Amino acid sequence: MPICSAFEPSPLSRRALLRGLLTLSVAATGPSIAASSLPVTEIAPGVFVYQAPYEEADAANLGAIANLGFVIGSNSVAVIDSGGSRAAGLALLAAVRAHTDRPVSHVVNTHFHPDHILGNSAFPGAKIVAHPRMVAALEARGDFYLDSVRRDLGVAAAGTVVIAPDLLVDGELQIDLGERVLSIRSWPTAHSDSDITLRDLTSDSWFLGDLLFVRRMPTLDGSLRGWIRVLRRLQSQPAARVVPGHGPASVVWPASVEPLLAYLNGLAVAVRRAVAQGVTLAEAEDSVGFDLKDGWLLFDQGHPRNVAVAFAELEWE
Amino acid sequence: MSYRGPALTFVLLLLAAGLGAAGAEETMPSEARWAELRPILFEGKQLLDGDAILELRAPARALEAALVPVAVKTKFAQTPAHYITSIRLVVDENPAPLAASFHFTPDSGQADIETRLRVNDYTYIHAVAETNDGKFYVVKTFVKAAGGCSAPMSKDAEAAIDRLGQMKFQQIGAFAPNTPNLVQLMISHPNHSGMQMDQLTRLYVPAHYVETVAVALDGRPVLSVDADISLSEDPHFRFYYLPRGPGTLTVTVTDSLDKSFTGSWPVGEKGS
Repeated sequence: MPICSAFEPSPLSRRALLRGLLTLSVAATGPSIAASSLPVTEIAPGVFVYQAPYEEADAANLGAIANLGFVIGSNSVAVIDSGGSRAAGLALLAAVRAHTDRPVSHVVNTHFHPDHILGNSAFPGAKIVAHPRMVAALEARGDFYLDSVRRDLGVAAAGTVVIAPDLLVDGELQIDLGERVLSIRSWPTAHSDSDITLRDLTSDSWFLGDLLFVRRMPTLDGSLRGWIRVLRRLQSQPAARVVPGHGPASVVWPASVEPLLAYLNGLAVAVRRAVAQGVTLAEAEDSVGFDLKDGWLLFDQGHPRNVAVAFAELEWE
Repeated sequence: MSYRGPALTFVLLLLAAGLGAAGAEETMPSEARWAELRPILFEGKQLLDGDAILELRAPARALEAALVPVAVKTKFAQTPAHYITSIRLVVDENPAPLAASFHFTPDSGQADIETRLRVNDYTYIHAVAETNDGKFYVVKTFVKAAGGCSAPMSKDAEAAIDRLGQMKFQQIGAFAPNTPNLVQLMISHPNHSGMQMDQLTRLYVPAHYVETVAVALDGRPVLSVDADISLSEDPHFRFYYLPRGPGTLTVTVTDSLDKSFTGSWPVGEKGS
């Protein structure tokens, strides 16, 4: 399953099934992946990030293909994104438990894509924090996400369910974890229509979710023009460090946004040119903007769909 | 003429609802649904292999299920003696499988059509052409997609309502009389399927979609479309018309709330 792609299920993969079965047999004889914890880096005191591999979701990676994190306060812990399956969420919980026994009070979903939300069920009792639009997005797409995760992960998808948010952020919300305040902010339609960011005010670490992609091909599921506008606003706000939804665990800000902005601006230019030339959508998907590939991993899996989404938006300008 | 009346649509919806659950897990190409649909849509008709006269193009895997480009290319020019009278696009596994019926005349020049469809599941798409001698021809292709009919409506719903009914017309290539000319027509319309949810109120948005499109050149029909909820938001068509000289193309659109929109464009004038 390509990340962040709403309606693009892959076919039932025998390979994924086999790998899923392997995971099961490993579980019977030794420590299973699900029971082990995700490796995390402490990017600032009390702020931990799991840096995801640049892969599509499969049984081996449990769908943990987006960066995930957690922040530890003196009373409780906030988790930022929960991974692409229940197993991924449990492995993230195990990583939390390796560093603290304080309760997880909040799971913050930076947006509704499956690699960010399907681990929510691993954190019962936590408030699920999200953008107000995420509720309807999950009602519309949740079943398709579950179909996809079952296809991609096979038996490793066991127990995965969609858990809707119960604490909605419209504007700004502050959460006090005890001697540590988090500022969560909602944004207009950009990468998706439900993007929120989280800033740890203590360490000035800023989790940007999929508003920021580094190295891994960005996917557009909202508004191209809106995303560029939001990035310009983010760019003007300093931070000690930021955590991209996909990319290294921590990058400098705002320099790290430049390749993404270059891609998005280049995509807009190329699609506008194609629209003006009377190119069809089908032709555009195969031909427009492929010169933007430099430096992006998984470009071919993500770019044509970005063209389609941008095309439908820009042809009405 | 159209085979689709309200009663038939209802039957198709019932049929789709009954089979929907079984179809959801199906990922391999299956003609089972077509076997159900064909006698309803083409009762008593023999459907001939259409490969010799038409070709259906759609992506094997949809990039965006709410926006699947589909094209029918025909292999002979429209003449008064021999022409295609209609092409029907059927998305077998969709809730309303008959996506659109396109009606052509000799003034169409060439009965090619391109549009964008919502595709709700892994499905065959069938294109059935009827020729003026009463014969029917069928071609098909398989498309992997899911969720197109319930895909959230426009990301910018307010802007979409503001431009409701607005049309954009574009001649593709230079105008040339006495030969088929290709044009693109875009109609700004949410084409609500009735299966989408408002992102804020979480209420289902009532169905509101383009039902008919009629295109005429100086009063002579070149294309008419009977459409349904399977057309993508902002319905989009590319088709041909056969001009004898400069003229005016007029477009009349009606939707399911009985709104109508019209537009007209001079063709063959200076600069077009």
